[in-house]
Amino acid sequence: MSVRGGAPPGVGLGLRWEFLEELLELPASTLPFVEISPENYLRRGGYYPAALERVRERWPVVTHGLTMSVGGTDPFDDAYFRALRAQLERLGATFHSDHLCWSATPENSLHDLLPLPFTDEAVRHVGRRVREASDRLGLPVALENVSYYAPRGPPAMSELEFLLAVLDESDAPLLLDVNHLHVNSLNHGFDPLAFLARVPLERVVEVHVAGHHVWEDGLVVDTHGAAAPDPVHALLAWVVERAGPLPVVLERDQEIPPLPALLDEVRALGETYDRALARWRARG
Amino acid sequence: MADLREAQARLREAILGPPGELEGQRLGVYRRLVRATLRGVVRDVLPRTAAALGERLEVELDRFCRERGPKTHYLRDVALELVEHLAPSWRVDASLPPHLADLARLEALELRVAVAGDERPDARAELRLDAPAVFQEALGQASFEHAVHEGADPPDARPVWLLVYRDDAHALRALELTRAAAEILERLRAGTTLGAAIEQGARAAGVPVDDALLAGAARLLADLADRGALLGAPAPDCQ
Ligand SMILES: [Fe+2]
Repeated sequence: MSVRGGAPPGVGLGLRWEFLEELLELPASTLPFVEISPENYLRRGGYYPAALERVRERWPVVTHGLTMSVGGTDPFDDAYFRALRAQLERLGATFHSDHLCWSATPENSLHDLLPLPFTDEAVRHVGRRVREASDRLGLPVALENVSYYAPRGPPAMSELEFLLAVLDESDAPLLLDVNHLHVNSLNHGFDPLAFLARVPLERVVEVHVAGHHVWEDGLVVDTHGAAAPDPVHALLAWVVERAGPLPVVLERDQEIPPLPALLDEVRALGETYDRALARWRARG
Repeated sequence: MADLREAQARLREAILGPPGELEGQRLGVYRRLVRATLRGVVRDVLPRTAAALGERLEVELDRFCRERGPKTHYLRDVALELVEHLAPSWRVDASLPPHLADLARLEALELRVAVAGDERPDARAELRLDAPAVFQEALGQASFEHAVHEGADPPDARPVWLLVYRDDAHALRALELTRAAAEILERLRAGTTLGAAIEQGARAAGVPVDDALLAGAARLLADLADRGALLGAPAPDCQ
């Protein structure tokens, strides 16, 4: 399932309330597009939905969800899907994305990206759920690879094998988060380029970049709380050089710097992106 | 899917429960990450409550996780769930500031009003004694034992009745009401006709329905209409 063309190519920014007003002061040429989490705007009135309308007047908006719980085992929440579908229709979205993880049980919504076991059962389950989610939304739902900190149960397959099997089973487009890939490669000791070499790049509809922290016990934790480091730039370049023009989103969720510093990082990523794209063009 | 369901139920319990089970394990990361997210939303949405709790915030977050845990899809609304679950016990806990529960309830009320829908119900008719009144959606009221809306730290201990609404520029406004005004508005908002709301509200507040009360009610309603909070009476075809 291809949804290329859903967002303009180039390096955009995940919209956060901390800099929303400041961003709205800037010309449209500042960014090719912005990404929002619909959960922050659903089922509410007042300032934020009004501000989102102002954002839309200036930039294309791409949506990236947080709480679908694609890998969860309780039935999908009807009210959430209805509200989400209406929001995506209003925004004219051509696809929506969420994470390859679970985040809720029938009792609780845990607001975290919790790990799925790399098993055939999970592959089949996620495949069914993604197809159901796409039907409910009337749009393709792209899956994002997540960082995980503990293998769940005996490893029946690797993360890569799991991801490939899920893509096969679900027919979902891939939102490739190269920071998550980098974090996982450090924590679980594998070569991220060998991983990327087996990812079907034609399925990639968007790329995420971010930074992370190293905790006191040496664990690398995907906090989105620092600038994207060089290895993340390198993974972005590797992908763009081989996949061509793609929408890329800088995500920053913690220790958010002043907007000018964040836009400097967008520019630096833009340079990495442009150089990689030139190499893609040279490859013909 | 049974294995998947069971594994998820176990991890949920370990994340929300006491640290024991996950201590020293990699899965303990998730326990820490979930708490960091909850702590973040409390600090964002309930900043004064978080400041008043200080280090006690961690204990209260743990208790919330253990006893109930977040249920809503919408992270901001976890703050409402937390206040609903914890504030009743804060009110009677002598080891906490006496105004803490009021502060949390005010911040929760402010959040509810800030995110309420933009819908403006149809209210084309003039107010009349024999009709109910229609208010904008983004409006709420509550009573408190401390003047937590005044910003003093610690706030004065005195009974306070507040109406909070959202203005046209999406800013929150708080109006302090008299007890009688609060009782009348509460009934009017619940759909009682204006005349009955005045009568019942005055009785509940223990004040007579005299000229002063009627003039005060008229001034309040005119003020609320000016502010765009009170829209009028239901359109004739809705009655
Ligand atoms: Fe991401």
